[in-house]
Amino acid sequence: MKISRYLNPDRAATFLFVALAALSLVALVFGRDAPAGGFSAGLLAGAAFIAYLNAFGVPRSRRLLPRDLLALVAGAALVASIGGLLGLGAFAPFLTNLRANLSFGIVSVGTSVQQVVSVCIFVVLAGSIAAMALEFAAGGGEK
Amino acid sequence: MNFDLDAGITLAALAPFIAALLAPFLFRFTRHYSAWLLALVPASIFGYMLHYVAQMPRRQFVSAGYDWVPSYGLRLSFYLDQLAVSLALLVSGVATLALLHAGPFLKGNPGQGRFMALLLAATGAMLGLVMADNLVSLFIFWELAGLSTFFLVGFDHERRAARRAAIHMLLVNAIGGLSLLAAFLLLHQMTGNWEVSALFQFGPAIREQPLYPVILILVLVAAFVRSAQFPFHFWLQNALEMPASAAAFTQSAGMALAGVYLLMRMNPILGGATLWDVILPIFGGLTLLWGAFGALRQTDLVQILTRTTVSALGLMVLLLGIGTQAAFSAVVMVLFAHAFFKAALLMVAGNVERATGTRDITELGGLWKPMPLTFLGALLGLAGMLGLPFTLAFQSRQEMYAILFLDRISDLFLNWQNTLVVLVMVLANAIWVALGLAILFRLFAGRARATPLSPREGAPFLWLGMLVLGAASLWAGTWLDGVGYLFLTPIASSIANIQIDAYLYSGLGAVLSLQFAITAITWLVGIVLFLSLDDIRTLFRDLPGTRGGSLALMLDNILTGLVRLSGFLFGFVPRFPAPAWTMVLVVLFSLVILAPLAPVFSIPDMAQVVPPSFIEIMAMLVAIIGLSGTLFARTARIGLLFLMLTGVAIALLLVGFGAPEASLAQIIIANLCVALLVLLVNRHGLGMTETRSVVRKVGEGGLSVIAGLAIALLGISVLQRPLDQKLADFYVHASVPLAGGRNVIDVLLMDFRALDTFVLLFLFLAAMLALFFLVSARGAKETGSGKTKRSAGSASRAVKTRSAGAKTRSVGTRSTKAATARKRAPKKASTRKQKGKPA
Repeated sequence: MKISRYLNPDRAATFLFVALAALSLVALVFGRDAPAGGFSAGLLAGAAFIAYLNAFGVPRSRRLLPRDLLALVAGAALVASIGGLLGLGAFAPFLTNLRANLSFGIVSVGTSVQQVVSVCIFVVLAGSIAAMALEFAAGGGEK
Repeated sequence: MNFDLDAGITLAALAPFIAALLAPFLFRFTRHYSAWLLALVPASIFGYMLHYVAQMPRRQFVSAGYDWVPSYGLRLSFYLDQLAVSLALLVSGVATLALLHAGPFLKGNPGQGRFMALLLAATGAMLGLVMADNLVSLFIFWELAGLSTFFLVGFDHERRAARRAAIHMLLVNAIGGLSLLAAFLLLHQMTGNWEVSALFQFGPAIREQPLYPVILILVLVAAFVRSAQFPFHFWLQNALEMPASAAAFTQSAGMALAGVYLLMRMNPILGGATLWDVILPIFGGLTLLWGAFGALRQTDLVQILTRTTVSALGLMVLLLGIGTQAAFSAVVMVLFAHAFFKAALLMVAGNVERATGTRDITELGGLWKPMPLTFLGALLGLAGMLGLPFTLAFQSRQEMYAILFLDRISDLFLNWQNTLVVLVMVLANAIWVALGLAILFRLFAGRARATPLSPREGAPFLWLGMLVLGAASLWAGTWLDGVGYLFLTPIASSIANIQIDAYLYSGLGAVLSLQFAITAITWLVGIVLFLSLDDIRTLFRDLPGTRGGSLALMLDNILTGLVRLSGFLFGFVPRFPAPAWTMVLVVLFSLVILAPLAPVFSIPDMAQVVPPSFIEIMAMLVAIIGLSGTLFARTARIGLLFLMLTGVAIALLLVGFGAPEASLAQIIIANLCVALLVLLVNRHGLGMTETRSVVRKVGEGGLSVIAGLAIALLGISVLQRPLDQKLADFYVHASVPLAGGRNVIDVLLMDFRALDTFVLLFLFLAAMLALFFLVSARGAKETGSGKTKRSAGSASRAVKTRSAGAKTRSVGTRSTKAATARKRAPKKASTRKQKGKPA
């Protein structure tokens, strides 16, 4: 066990990326009851991506992302807006937070529009920060 | 039962939008056949609306809908009286035919799926508009109609003319939309009601109010813009850039009708006052003549038809302004007669252009032989335009001439105004007759002429629509008693809000009446005009100031002026360096913050300020170190790192205040901003070395300190006022029971202020996209042009350096020392080069 193994910049960057990504998921999942939420989680995921980008460069980081990143971001924004309209379908006012409890045998999963919207916000923020960072690092002329 | 009614009517208004969303996907699989499937949607709405016809003569109405925002009394509510039902029938019927027409008409056009989606959206907007009861939902449907028509006008967006027409349409209609919103808000404020049906009883009271003229003028501006009344007529004249199927819908049952519908709907509320009786006939009459004379100058078939639409819309407004019983029944007949023949003729025009490659009536001839069914459809349509007996148009003319001797226009007018109005109508109608004859003889009679394409008849759905519309016109004209009982009288009564007995003349009595004599004169004048049409056209072309749409030119000038202004600003801003602009911003910022404090200025009572704790002092010290580091750092990168330090220190302060959420956000945002900025600095090789003098740095730092002090003063003086905790307490206590979340911030964002969050989300997206494309465009420019060679060179060098570094790392060096040494080497070289170059 050499200390230098832990000082390897590759490993350090990977560790940072994984840790930040995990933290962002934690923030997303537990954000309803503890500090954080979709916004912070999205920002954290964006930060994770930037760490990766700084360590491994543009081509390798680009492979982490889906090809149509902007389409994904726009789709998430659309789903979030539709989430606001869902209340209308259930004859409730606009932007009403609907909740449904799905139970699979003994396991019961509660879900609500708010959670879906939260995930959408996460995708929008993380995706757009990643897109921006890639663009900043690569520039438009060198695709 | 009631639920079914609510659901059925709401679905009728919303189904076209759902179909519009599906249309592009459907189009992928079924290509141009998807028109058949999609036409089922308006067709079934048409069938559904037929249920309500039976109740029409009994002057019953149906209210339905759902609560929308109950706390503001807003409902998605619908009010189906005779006017709404019959217009919904017209809209859905014409939309069905237009969709079917679009199937073969745009066959092979890759945008056909989009086109059908837009046409369906326009249909849904018109259906919602004519059925809406709530002022807010009426306004929303009104704007949706405008928006979908805007996209239809600009459908062929590759062409400059189509783009220009679309932008004109959007801008002009924005005026109308805003004034309609203002009018509706005033109406609500005055009566406390959002429902149109509830406003009817307030009619007389509203007309007494001092604000009545304001509301009336706002509503009139909206209606005049939408229905292309003089001086706003030009958008409709340009709107012929859209494909013929859409033009047929828009000009007969679509957006152009919306303004007339609004006036009809508002007549019981706003109509009948002196102002209404004066403004409407004047503008309506002006538009009637303007459109008719404008059409005389044209040789383009679609232009002729569109200008006569403008003229017909003027006629409807004129009749609504006259406001007698005969006028109300005449306006209903004109509306339907015009819709039938104009939709048919626009489809004819589309088919002719599609088959021959031209739509100039002077270049066409003898089309009856190669296109017999289109000829038949044109005959039926032209019968309406000429007002031949047994058509609804004939009956509408009889009815409108009846105002001459059946009733006086209003107390304000003497009888000579009746005569003047009828003279104007005779003249305009005669021009229509002349143009109808011109279309008939130039297009179809005579010998065939050489055209870009050799004409032949198209697919069945190209001519089916016009035959159906022509048949409808004939049916309504011959069976006038029944149609009058079922539709015309009930609709007119609904507009007037009193029971009307129309003077429907049919059979022999009509032929022998005085109106028939005037109708005959109309035909005679029309024939004379037709015979001298070429001379008249030449005469009109030479007249100055008739080159059409001076307002359109003005709008063009405003638009080019805006482009020039932004060009000037874009040239002006780079004349000063970015730091100078930043300083201007900082100074303005502190002024804006200090200005409201100035009138009541007193240094806040510092004795009340709680002295900071040890940890807070430490955090502040770190922040100050970070700031001075930022200010005096040798390179931009080091400066950015110091900035991050400040951000972390502030996060520490926030933790001390018991705000973990804000602290978390502060840490992430501070780091993210710095990381993004570092990426930019690396990519563009910006600010590698600091060139500013110490004096300048101190000066700029001093300015920032003043701005910070301004904020601090503002904060302290605000906090010394008594703090209202009511809202905060509500959020804290309601977050678990109402929204089921213990994190109040998240509940605030996701539930209590969800609308703000949506706006924020889209704001963020917009800002991101702007930045994204700004950097993207800059990068493209740098690598593309030789003007900024230096920065381009350094940029690509920076990237090369980084990728070289990455390579050395990924080779798998055991020793970190070696890696850093190798990594450092190219970097040094590059900085040396950088330093050497400017010198």
